[in-house]
Amino acid sequence: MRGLRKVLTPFAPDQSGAESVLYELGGIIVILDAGGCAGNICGFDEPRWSSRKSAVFSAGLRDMDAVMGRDRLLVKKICRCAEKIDASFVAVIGTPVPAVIGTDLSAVKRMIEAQISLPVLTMATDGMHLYDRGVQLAYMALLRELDRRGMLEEPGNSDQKPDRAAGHANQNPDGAARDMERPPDGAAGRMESAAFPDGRRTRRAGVFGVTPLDLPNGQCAELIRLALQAEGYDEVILYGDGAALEDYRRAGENDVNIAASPDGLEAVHFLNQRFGTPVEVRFPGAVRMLERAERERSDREKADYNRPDCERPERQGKSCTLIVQSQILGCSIREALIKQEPGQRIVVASWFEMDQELMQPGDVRLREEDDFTHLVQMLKPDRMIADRVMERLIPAFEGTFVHLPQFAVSGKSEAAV
Amino acid sequence: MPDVRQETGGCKTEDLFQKGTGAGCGAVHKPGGCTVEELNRLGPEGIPEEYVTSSHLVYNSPATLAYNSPGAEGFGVKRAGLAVPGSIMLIVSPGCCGRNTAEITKIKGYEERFFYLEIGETDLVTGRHLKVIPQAVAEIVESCRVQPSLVMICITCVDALLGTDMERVARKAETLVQIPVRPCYMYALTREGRRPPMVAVRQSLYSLLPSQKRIRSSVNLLGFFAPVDPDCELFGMLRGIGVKTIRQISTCENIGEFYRMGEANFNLVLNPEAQDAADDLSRRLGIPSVALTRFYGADRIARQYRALSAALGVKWSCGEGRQEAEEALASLKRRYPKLVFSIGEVVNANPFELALALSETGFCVREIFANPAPEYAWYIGRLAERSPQTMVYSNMEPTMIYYDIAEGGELPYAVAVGKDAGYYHPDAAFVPWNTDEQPFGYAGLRRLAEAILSSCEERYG
Repeated sequence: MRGLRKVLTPFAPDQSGAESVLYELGGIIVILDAGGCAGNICGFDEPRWSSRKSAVFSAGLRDMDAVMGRDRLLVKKICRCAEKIDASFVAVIGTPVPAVIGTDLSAVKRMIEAQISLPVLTMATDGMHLYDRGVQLAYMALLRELDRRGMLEEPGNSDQKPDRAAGHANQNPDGAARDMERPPDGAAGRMESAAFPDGRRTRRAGVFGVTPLDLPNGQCAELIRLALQAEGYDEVILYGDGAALEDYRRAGENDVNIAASPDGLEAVHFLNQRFGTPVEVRFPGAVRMLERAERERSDREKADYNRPDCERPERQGKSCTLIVQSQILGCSIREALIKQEPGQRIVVASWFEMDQELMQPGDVRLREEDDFTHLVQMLKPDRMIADRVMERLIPAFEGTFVHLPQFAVSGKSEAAV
Repeated sequence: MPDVRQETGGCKTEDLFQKGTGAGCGAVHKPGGCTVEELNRLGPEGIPEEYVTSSHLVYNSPATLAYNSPGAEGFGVKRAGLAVPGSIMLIVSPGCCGRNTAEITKIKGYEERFFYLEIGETDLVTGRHLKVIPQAVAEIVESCRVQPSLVMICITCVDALLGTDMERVARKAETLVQIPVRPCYMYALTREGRRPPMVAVRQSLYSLLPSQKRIRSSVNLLGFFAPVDPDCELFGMLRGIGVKTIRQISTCENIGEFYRMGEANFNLVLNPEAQDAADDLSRRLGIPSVALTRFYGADRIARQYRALSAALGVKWSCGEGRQEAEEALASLKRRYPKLVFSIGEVVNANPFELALALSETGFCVREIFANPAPEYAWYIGRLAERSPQTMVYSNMEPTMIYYDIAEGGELPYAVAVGKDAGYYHPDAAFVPWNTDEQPFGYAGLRRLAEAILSSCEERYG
């Protein structure tokens, strides 16, 4: 039945995604709810909440607020808060209640702006879409508002900017993005290139689509940084994990913007249009992540067998691997696996948005539990790379299961923040 | 007593809370609050707006998690709705509402009891999700290894706004699956209304009790979803007057035993959130009820037991357990005479009554993190006499983002009671005092004293 879940818990919603982009930026973040959504977002989906303060508030809506449409009261609450709290902006995140009653968030934005001088962002999230939509909305709301207010800094002197002609040496150890040499239909196909005169100035990479909800676990941010530093980038800005508001304002100085998840695509293209910044679509550090996941699986299997000399079951054949992850991570892993073993069939599936241009034949967007079970029945993969929570949907699966966490799916945190 | 009050300027209400100097700039960076003396002077009708949750944004800190998401700690609607043994729950809502249920499923006994029917925009506009609920119930019942005793259908704010008649839908589902199906309402929008969610879920559960032949020696304890501390003297007192069977929903092993709660001679209501359910049982089944309050002041406990014995027309020793409780308190006071308490609201207690009880024992209570309500005026008045400088902070007030104890700046012998107080005072001796098992009466007081002693020994040696 459509919408019925008998095994998996609901996935991270769009309001959590929006909040995860804004959490560390020093704004007043207002979740337009009665309280429960804020509890879910802060107490469950936001791993930084207990370790790092942020001015996240619930609007504390009550039934009469919803029935009477007391937007003025909401604006009054927000403006009173802004008098008491230091903040760089105000963000209003939608939830199911304002969606049902048709709250005009644009009007709310104008009402707030009429009373305070801070930038105001609104995101029409509704709790009925998934987190990646919220991440995308938040990125774009922030960038567009900064741009509208003239707060996006122009890049420095042009003779210090990279030559944006084609081709530069590929220093990517992941191999998941051979950049300019790749055909346009590859996993990292849609890129514009930049050549960097050696030793001229620091190289700066911006990465979008790397909020805690996008990443498999808390160590991934560091893996991405290390991977990009190994490629020669001196500064790595992870937009959604560690980036400050100032980094958004200086996004025009990035030498490249990388979309590590589909929810970062619109932002990198916006910056490309605005500043001409080259775009890459790949997940830096994907190979390391897979290696770690494989190592953990291997360690777990050894522990399962008490005798160290016991034979572990070997993977039979190389017929098919199914990867269920965020699309770009999945595609990056696929590229790496194909390099290791050319010719094997690898299917990438995702519970979240998939960009059509990155999809290869057989790739699947999953929506219901039955979609996943049918896919496995059809493909009969002998290896699966996914969050282990999905094993519960396929108890008869006899292949190799490599656990690569996806908190947005499982709701089971392995993050170390 | 150390003067722990922060400088807040004058005594006018508008001066009692910090004001910045403009939008987002120059905030004073101090949390706002009042002393109990000031609150008492203002009176129950003059409680400052900053303590009224609906008048301001609600600050989300770990201290307010239990407010925003009651089920995250202790019992919220989702967990409470599964109080009947063998029951399962279908959460019909936008996906976001069921998100943190993954946390509850980690608790033993709650795995595989939750199911979800996610609704989207089209469902909300057309109401088509209501048509498929009976079939969804049938599918989840069929998927269970053991036939469930009851299906609870949990709906959320959006259905409140749509005015969904879930009773009717539940009846249809019941016809299909031939087991009881009941709605429960996770309506955060009505939290401060006439029938808040935790009141409604109790009514929903106890509405299942069938009419049965009255058993004079049977009594129900209503109010909690976890057992009352079995050491509580109330059990012995009731047995002393001939009560043979004391039932609580949390100790029923199966639905049959739960149904037998309908044979009770009377109900003792230990939590006011269960009073409406008790009134329903009185009207429907003729079971009268008596309300008891959880106190930590020994005199108040004694007075209540005397009143109960008068109401029941029995004579019993109302001092059972009192001596042990007072000895435990005295032992704590002897060992640590200069404890300084911060009391939170995420506790198995009324924080104002608890603060008063500790103050009456001679301890210093520097802070209470809770919203004063008009019904707490008596406690505030007594506190104002004994400990006028005790500060009262609202966990939810935006300026609480600035509540910080500087490193090394904690007071000597500080004790934080409650998870929220513990959040604000990470270096204090910490007493969570919010276990599932419910303290009550003299036994509760004794256990509290023992818990404080144990935490202080661990922290201060």
